[in-house]
Amino acid sequence: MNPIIENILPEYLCYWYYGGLGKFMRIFWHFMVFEFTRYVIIDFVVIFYFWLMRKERKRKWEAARRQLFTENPFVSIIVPGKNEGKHLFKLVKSLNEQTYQNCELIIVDDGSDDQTPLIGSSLLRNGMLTKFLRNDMRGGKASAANLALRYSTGKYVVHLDADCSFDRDAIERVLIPFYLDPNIGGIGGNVKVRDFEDNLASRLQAIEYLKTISMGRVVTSTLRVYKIISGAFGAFKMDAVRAIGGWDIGPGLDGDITVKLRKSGYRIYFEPTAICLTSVPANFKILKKQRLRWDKSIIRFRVRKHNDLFTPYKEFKWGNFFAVFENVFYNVVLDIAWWLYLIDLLLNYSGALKFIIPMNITLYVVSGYAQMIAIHLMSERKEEELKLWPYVPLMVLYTGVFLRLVRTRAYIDEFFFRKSYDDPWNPVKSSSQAKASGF
Amino acid sequence: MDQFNHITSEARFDDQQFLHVVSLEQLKERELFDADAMVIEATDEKVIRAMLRQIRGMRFKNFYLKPIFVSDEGLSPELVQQTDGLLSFERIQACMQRSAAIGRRIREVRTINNRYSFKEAALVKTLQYLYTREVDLQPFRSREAKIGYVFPYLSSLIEDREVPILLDILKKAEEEGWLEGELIDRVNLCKDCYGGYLNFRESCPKCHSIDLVAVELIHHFRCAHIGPASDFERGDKLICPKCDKELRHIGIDYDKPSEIYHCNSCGHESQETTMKAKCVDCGTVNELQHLQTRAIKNYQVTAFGRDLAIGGFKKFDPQEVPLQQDQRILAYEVWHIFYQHELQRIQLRKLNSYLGALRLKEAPLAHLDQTTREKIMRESLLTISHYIRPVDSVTARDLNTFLLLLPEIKAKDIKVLHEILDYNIQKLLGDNLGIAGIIEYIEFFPVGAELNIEQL
Repeated sequence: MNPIIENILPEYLCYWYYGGLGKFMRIFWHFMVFEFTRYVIIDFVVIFYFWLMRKERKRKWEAARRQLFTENPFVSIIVPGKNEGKHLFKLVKSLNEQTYQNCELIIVDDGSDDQTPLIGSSLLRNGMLTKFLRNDMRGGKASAANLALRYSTGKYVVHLDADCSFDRDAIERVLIPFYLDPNIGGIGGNVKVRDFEDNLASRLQAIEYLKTISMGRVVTSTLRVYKIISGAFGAFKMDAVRAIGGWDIGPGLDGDITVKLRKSGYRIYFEPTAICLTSVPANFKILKKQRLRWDKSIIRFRVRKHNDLFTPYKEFKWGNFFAVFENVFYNVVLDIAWWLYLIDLLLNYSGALKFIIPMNITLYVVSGYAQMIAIHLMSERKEEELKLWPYVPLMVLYTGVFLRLVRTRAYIDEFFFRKSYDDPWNPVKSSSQAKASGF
Repeated sequence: MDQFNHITSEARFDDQQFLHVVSLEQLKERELFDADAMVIEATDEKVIRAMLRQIRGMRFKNFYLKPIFVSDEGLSPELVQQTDGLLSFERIQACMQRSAAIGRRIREVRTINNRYSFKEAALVKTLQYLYTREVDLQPFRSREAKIGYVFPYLSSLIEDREVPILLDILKKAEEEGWLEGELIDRVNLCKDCYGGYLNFRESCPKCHSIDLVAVELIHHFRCAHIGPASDFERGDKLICPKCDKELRHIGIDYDKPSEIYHCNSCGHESQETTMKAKCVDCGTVNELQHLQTRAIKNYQVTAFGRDLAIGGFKKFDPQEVPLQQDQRILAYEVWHIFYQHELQRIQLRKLNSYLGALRLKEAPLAHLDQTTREKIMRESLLTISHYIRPVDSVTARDLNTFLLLLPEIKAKDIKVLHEILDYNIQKLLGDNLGIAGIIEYIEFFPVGAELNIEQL
């Protein structure tokens, strides 16, 4: 007989059977208390809530949709970027197909050194854009977005990334929630991975996007602690964005503006049916650079710039507190806790790692599939996304090891060395001023 | 014109008679005919131009090619270049020699045919002028000319307002191989009047107003706010409207990454403006893409052009080329009669008769001497006749175009013939002239009333 089945498996089962629930919880407290509860139980609770409220939700949605088309507000779609010329034609085509058409399209070229100016001008001459603005000197993404904002004339502004494309009704769907609740100041669209079948990196990112954006933001939005409207696809009330001065210097400016809106008293909403497809880094090396940039912004903006949310100030709101707390806790605090947990295991259970590691993997794989079921129930692309299911077990390594290591490195770099200010993503002239001003 | 009058004087230098004229009124035609050269004594440039136009517009070579000198040293160089030069005391000898040489060459050329169209006459006259003067057709810049350039002789035949005719003549002459051009400039001309004097202005892409103001954009580094300078101006200071900080130092606190145009008419703001060209002559506002862009070239007369200058237009007659007897090679006129018969035949019966046209690119034979040219034409016709059926016929309409009449032929035979002709003519001419891609096209058309063979 196979020695695994004959010896190791019975030993493994005995270890956990005789250890009992107490031992199981002692060892997997980290998983059970924080991760299983947050990412599995709450997901299903929210889905159940959605199911319960489906008729009411549909009725309100239809009324809001009617109101949108009755009012037919003018919408400014702004696309700031550098060297994005190659994406522009596809983007414009995607927007021309939209069901909501009372829009102006403003593209800002932030000092591109490729063919972007030629392409943009050509599209403008052919009447495919409303405005093509160019900064000969690069100023960074925030200034490019602010330039577009300055010359926008719509009631709402939709911020897009140039390398994205959109479902035909995406603009309509990202606008409708403004008519569900007049206090909504910003709405995040659902960003999914376009070429998810390209390679392993894109498949794993596609699963991650489904978990953290498509499902994760439904949960945070329902709990009213949603705190980041993706730069790739988000809609804002024009007067609200102008009142807070638009975007501040990034990286991480999309999360920053969301918090600024929250602090101004607006509700932030996630609309899972407003679908945007985006390109993702094609390999792990580029992905690492992207995530180092993203993760540093948590320290820079959540922990440092907006730390007043943790203290009782005159505009203190529990919703804002929990939004940022959840973000910081589940990223920064639990990242530190995970390392402590690892030390705890090594010190106290080094002899039992052969039982703990397989169980750990089993738990993450099972919970991963449980999350995929939740996502599947909510998804509009059920069939395509089934192709990702065989790769779910690899997420243990992807999120459990790769992303965790990158995250830890980013936190250390930013917390101790403020490395985000050295990021070439922004020009030095802006980063140095932002650093000196404590932004 | 019956009479030229008001002769100032008549001078004889050696055996040459120079007719000094102040105006053309009352000048007798006989006197002008007998004179070896004419000297215009007038000083008014308008009068001189009118005289040049009148004399060169005549239809007899002894008039329209007459050497014409001017005597006033104060005339504009552009006008002097339209004549055979300035006659002064020091230059009498040179002018006499030039007049004599021109006279000898005038005797070599034929007077233009009365049946020539205006364009044909203008072209042949110009070629004759260039031949008799032994010069190239070199345009020169002139503020007086509508397109900014004047072509010697040719420009005096054609009214300035009829510039398209002048340009058409030159284009046709180059296409047919009578002239060989060397590019010296390009001019952009008004789409309506072909005027070259254009005022280029930026205008609003939305309302087309020219009332635009360029506004500088300011980017505040610290808070990433960006907007027109007016957003930041408070008194004589620059204050950021987003963060209330004063902008003190360009390059440190802020920069000016670009500018934006504000239209005072419609309020549109854009970094793109539409450049338009307003014609000074007729006032038409032209979109740049609608301007007529024309090449200005120095032209040399080719050997083919020289033949045209001397002998005038004549159809190329393959029968004049000594050939081995092959009855399928016909003179164009004879071939055309056959073609007309075929046209009538297919109207009576439903037949699949075809006309083939083989056209050479850029008149490759035009630069050759007559002997070589005839030899190559003969070889080309023989090559074609070798591959066609006994009932077919071929002709050379001109030096660039061979026409084939192919009665009742099958489509698959046409395809084969196309390939054979393409390969063999290309090889024959390519090997002899050392030019690749010499054939502009080989096409076959069903014979029918709607087919215009003159346009092939």
